[in-house]
Amino acid sequence: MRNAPDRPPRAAERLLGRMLGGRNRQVVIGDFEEIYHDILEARGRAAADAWYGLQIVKSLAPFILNALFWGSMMFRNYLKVFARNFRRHLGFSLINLAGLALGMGCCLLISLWVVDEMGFDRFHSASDRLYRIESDEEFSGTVRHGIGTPIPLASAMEKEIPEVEYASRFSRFGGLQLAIGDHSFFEADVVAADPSFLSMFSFPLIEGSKDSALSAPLSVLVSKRMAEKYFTGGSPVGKTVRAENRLELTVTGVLRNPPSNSSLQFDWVVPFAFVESRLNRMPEGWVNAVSSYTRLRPGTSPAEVAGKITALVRRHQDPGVKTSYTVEPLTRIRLFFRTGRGLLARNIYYVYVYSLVGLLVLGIACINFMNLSTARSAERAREIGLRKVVGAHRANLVRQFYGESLLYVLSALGLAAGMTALLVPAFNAVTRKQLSVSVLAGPGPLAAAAGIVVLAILLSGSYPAAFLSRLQPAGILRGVGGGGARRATFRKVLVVVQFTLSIILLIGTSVVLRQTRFLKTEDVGFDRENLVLIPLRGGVAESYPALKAELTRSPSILGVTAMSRRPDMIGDYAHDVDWEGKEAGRAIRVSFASVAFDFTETVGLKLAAGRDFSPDRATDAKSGFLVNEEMAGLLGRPDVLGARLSMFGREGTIVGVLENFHFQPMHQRIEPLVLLLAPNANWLGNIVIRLRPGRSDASALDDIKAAWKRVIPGLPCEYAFLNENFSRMYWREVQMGQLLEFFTALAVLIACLGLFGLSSYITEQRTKEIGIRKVMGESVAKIVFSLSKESAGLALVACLLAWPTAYLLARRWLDGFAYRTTLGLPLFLLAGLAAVAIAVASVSYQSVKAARTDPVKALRYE
Amino acid sequence: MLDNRLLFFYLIELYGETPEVEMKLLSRQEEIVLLSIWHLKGNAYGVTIREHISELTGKYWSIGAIYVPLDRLWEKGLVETWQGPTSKKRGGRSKRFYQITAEGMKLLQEIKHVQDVLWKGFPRVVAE
Repeated sequence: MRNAPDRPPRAAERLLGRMLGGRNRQVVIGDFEEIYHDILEARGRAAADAWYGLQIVKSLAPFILNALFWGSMMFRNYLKVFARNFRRHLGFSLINLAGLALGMGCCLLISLWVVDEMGFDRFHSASDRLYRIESDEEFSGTVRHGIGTPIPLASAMEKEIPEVEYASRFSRFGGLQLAIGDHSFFEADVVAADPSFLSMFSFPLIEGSKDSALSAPLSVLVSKRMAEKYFTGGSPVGKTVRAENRLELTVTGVLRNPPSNSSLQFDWVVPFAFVESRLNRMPEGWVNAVSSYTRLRPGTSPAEVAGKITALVRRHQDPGVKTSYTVEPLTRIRLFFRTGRGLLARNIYYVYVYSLVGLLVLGIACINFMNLSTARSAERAREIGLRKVVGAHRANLVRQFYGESLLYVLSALGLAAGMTALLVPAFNAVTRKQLSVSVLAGPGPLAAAAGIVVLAILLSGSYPAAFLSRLQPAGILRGVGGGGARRATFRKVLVVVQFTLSIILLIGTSVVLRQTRFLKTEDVGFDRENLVLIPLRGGVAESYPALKAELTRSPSILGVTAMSRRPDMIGDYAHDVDWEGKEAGRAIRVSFASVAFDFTETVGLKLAAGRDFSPDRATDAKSGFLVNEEMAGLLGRPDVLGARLSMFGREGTIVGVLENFHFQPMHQRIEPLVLLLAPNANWLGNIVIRLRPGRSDASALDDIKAAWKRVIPGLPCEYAFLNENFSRMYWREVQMGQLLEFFTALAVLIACLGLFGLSSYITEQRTKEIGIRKVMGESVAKIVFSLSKESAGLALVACLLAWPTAYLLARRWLDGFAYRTTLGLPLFLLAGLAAVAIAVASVSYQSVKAARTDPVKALRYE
Repeated sequence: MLDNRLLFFYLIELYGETPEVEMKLLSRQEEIVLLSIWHLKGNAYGVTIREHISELTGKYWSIGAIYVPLDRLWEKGLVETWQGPTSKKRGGRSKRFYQITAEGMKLLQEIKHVQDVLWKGFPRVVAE
């Protein structure tokens, strides 16, 4: 830091120089240095440096006091001017504040959501070493990525791959029928896991020991909320739970409820060995049937481990199967796992979209602020001129304007925080999260909030600061506006930007809502209304024939059938389908479902050819197949009826062809489907009941419950309407529609507020002009027109900019659906029309008011 | 909205606050500094003035504090200043020399006269 041996440290000199003001600065520093030099010669460097340092300390106190005194004086003045301006243009200022507050509230809500999404699975103590094993299965040239892994993989990994610290399977094997005392219920949230599960993840046990809790096959862990629900009075540990009416499980521990930001959710955990050896629900061998998680040792390369896993599986698998495995960090699976196709296939894209929406809304609010501030610059110009005349530097003015923005932004932030706190419950209801504002108190979110504030200040304060501080005082005070036209152009550009963003949001929202409506109303090939499903669990399927006999007696019930899954979601695949004339070696994946008699009629499917399964034909049960048109097309022959087909080693003939129907969400194309009659009760998962339309649901449901009670008195009857599944099947779309609707409404509202404020200002400026026009005999209508046409024009320009952008975005989003709504011209025209109408409406109040005022008043004003 | 007339009044008010210098009265500090400049003759600049005063009064004077009365004296036309040559010792900066003006000299004499009159007959204080 020293530039010469006989001079004071340069940094110290600079510091001293900064603190000394006035015209004597250079001389005083010179004096200091001379004395420093004298001391240096007389008593050496150390003494000289010490003296110099002391001088700095001594001048520090008066310097700070001085700065504070003048700083506070000016600050008080700024505050006063700010308060005066705020009061004088109260409506104006409130609009400004409200716009900013709404924009920031939006941003806050969205950041709550984003923080939650980004924080998924990070609560585990070694979250950076936790991985899920994923698979890439190859079928006839196409690779399907999934999370299925072979059942014996986890234990083999622990034994054979040294980098693996722990590995555990994790499977929702379909739920269990549980009974505690005489209370019996079905639990879908039962998972099976290996003992390592408790060591690798941070799911702490409140009671019990993590080393032994899952070691006995007949043990079960229960979450705290379930323990409170089912085991009132004392600890559940040591109590027994009966599973599937035949196996006694002992509760060995109580788990803390999994946090809401965990991808792994469960209420009951049973040892995997229990499902394998006692329930016999797992297939044998190395088939991809469960998900596996692992914790690697520190410092290992996941790619290397993935290679070892692939090699390990290949040693055991049939050489024809070509599956490779990857290990994906647990912290990435929430956001980066591919859940569909199209623009929003991964959760991370939702994070991007919502963040973008939040920033857009904030941007629109900031533009308001900029616009309203510059619009008033003509008035402020005189204040600024005077400030400059009495000696304000440009830097002072810049500081003043940023200071004013800061005041606005901070008050807006306060309002926004209040608004957020009020809206969080509603927001939670839409997003199905348990967000709380307290999440924002962490260091990361606080930094983000500070970032938003700084961004808002920069966005909203920059133009006034840069433009107004540059004005030449002489010009302003003489009354020359200076650059008025340029300023107006800039304002127009900002209004166009604002409206472009609003229109894009408007179109985006309509597209999402339109697609959701399409999904809801599009013909799926059968009537989704009046269908009731009853799950057959825990051996109840055996009673299906008796249940059916009871149910069909009710006059409210049109038909009863049963099937493996549900008519709107069949997720099972067969890979071994074969038929005469199939090309050798062609791997085909076919959806299949097992059904009971009366399936076609009850569900309401149409037959394209042939007939339904019939109890009168003995061969149907053993060798009959129903296929859909897609499958029939795949066979590639004109006479599909009677064609031979084999599946699961069952040789049979096709007895009928069903018209295509949607048995999967509409993101997917209709795939080839084969139906067969369930060979036994285990193949049936749901009873499907068609109610007679026009009858009250309540009486039909009473009949169903009564029938159930007569046949299976011990178990509760759980039923659901099929169409209730809609919001679950398309929750992303529904949620996005709701959120976008809300945020777009806000964005448009903010833009309107801004335009309203701007127009009131412009009309005020033209009061005299309007008065003269009226005196000269112009009609009110014409004046209103001339005042509104500019806004309408700007909105039109915004339309032209917004349409192509919105079209491209909507196109990409809709690509995620195999079946989608059209992007018609009317939609775009309507959004544009709405924007123009909104623009004119928000301006017209002011212009009508101005045009109707008595010209005498207008001209006498001032 | 300020019109030009109002602005005029505003400026009057603003500058009206600066007091007009009528009587050249000196504060004690200014008097001491002015006397030291006279004492130091041609070698009066920041460092020497401060040293001299500190010796005379036996009190600590900070460097910056010297310049406040110096500036005031200069504003009242009692001292004149000029830049000396730059020197390496001062990091390449020049000294600002001060010299008493005729007016300053006259004022000092006036002060002395007034003091003499005022202090006449006061008993001498004997130092221990």
